[in-house]
Amino acid sequence: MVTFLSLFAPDDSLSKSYGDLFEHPSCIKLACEAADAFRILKKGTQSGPTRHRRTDSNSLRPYDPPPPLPGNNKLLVKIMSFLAGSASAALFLPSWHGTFHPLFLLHRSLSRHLDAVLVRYLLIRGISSHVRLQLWDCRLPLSETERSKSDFERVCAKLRHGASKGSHADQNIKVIEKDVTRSVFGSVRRKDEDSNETKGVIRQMLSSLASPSFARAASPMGHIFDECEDEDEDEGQGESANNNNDNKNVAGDDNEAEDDRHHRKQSSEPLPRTMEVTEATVRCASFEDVNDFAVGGVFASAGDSKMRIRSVETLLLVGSFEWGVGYCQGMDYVAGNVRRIVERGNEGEGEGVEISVGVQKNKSQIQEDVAEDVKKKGKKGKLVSAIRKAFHFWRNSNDSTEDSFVPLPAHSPTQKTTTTAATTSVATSLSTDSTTSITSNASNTSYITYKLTSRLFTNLGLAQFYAPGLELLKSITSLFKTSVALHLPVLSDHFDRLQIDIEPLTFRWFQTLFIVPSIPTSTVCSLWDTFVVTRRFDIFIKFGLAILKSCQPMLLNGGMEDVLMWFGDLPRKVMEGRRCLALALTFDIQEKQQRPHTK
Amino acid sequence: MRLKVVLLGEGRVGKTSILFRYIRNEFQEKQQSTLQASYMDKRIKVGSVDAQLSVWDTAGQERFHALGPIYYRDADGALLVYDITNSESFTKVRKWVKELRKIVGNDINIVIAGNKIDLERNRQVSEAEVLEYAKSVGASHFYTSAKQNLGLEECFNELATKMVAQNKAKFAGGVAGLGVPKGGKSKLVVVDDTGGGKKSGGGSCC
Repeated sequence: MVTFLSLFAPDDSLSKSYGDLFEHPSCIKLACEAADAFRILKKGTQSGPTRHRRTDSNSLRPYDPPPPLPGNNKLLVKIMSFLAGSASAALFLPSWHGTFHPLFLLHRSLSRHLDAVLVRYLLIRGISSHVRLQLWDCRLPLSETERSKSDFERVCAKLRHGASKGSHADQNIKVIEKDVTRSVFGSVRRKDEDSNETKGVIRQMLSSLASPSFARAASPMGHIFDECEDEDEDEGQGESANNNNDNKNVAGDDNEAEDDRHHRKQSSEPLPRTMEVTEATVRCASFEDVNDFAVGGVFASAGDSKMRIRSVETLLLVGSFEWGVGYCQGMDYVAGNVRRIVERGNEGEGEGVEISVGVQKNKSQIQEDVAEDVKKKGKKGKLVSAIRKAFHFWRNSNDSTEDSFVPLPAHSPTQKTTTTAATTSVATSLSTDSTTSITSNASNTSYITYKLTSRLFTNLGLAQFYAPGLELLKSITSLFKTSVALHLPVLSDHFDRLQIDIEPLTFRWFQTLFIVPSIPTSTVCSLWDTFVVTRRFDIFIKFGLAILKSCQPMLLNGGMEDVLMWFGDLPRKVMEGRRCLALALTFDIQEKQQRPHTK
Repeated sequence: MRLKVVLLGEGRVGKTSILFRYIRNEFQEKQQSTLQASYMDKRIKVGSVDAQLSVWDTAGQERFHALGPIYYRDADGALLVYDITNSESFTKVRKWVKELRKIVGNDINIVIAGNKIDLERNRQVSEAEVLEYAKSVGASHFYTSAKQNLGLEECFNELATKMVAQNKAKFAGGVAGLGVPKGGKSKLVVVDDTGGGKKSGGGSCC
């Protein structure tokens, strides 16, 4: 094998590395992360300037079309399929990206196997939050979204100042606003108060848009991956993986340590990549804590209205661009989770996010204080200094997280112009005007969230999922029902005996793509990753089956009430660990075979 | 006797609040929008009959209308809720009644509830119109307030009484044997190879 591969390898060092790799036990797991890396790298070379941190010997050459395959295609494919896991590990490790011509060939022939491996990996081990964004970016190329940032900002501005009547987009916004107001903000609409309420929503959105937490400034996602590939970071993750049980205590130190490493990293050249470190990353990812529930964290807590507003904002934006997406309950959950993923990925702390909650809170609190300061001073006409102070603060606070933040000098000219404009307007109007000057730079997180959400809805067909009539949702639940009958016949009979129809009970699972109380976010994210990779809904059906299967004994012993209660409130302990996810892979869903039985 | 009741109505009229108030006597000012059909049980006594009400809460948003049949297909009764401060929600009630009558037929007992009576000052749905409509479709009408716990007991009791009466009639009809046009669940009729038999056969699904 090694000799065969070495045919492709331009130098000895590469083939030697292959040999090393094959002996490494965690090759397959690495393959996936490496494959992601490879894709990112490939993208990186295409987008060019964003990859500024790779220099000299390690720099990427622009991508050339692969040379024709030497010799026998079929044989190559066969051998490659045999080697799938380990070979891809070798092929896509970033350190060889300088030589990826033959690698790319292999990549193509392997992509099918790779996907299977990737899915296994994503489900069972999970990936770190950094890599997640990258993975999604690869699979749903965000750079290709039709809407540019300027478009996005235009609509943002429109939303802020109230939509003018006329175009499709504006009408759409109105419709969605109505739905959203009703279902998310829980207010009763009365005709005479229509306009007031709409303004209220927009005002709330505005204030969240303008808040400094949006100030993770404009940088393409490529940067983030740089970070997470880097050993410095990996070491940090390794540490936190080792200390997983008591890492809550060390969170603060960890953060500081990370700061140090970041500084070191800026100056020094890339360090050698070692297996152990990457393995640590993998381990760490799989530990992403299980007590973190998307629903509990984002929506259930009444206090966290900000998160809701943010998801609403994203939905409004998606709705305003994608005519026909509209709004449906459940979409806010999806958008909220995307936002969470983006924020977490952008935090640059990955697994540290949950760990260092305390630190985070403090920081955001301070940021809010600064925002308040800005508003107050804006009223008094001292805006310029306040904004400067605020930016100074953000720069400091962002240094510790990522370099994905816009350096002050680059933006200061525009800052000045906007602030002067703002100061004049401040004299006459409210502080909202003053904060908009920040918003233009601060909306990056929302922009990425918007892009991701929009991609999910358009490319992955979630729009149809939520389309009026909910046909897709209905067919998925009915497919789920037949799958239960096929794979868990005893349980299905039990349900029949109890006269329980599981269709209405499982709507929510699919409708929110398993953002269900008591299923940890990391699990949900693993599912979503798989969904993004495979572009098929069947993973959700499989996971549903896995949940049922893992609870089968409990369900079989229960009466009607017990079962119904179980569906209403999934037991927590069942969801912990990745057992369910592994179990999900054991099911084989064949839509075509099962369709006839459905009706 | 187990009786299934579905709560139907436009979004944000207070279906979930009604359910929580009626069964657990709880009320949340900021009730979230319902996503999943939830289910709650309550034992009540109708005359001499012990009945167990299984009340199903549904999501009200327009797009969920399509899921309706899954909820109400084997229901004994439906509580259609509208918001007296929102005329649109009453329009939706008309839609639901039409649909129920068309798909389930007359087997399902319907009670209409005008919720949020505590907001009487903001009323938008005229009383005369509602009462007339309720009468025309053979449904009872109640005013309720989940917030102040008004009218809920009466509302559910009325529905339960109706359902029990109907179930008894059905049961008696089934025992009496063939040819009872309303006996949709009598399997004997299916054997009969007449037009009527086919009709009731189609209606009899458990």
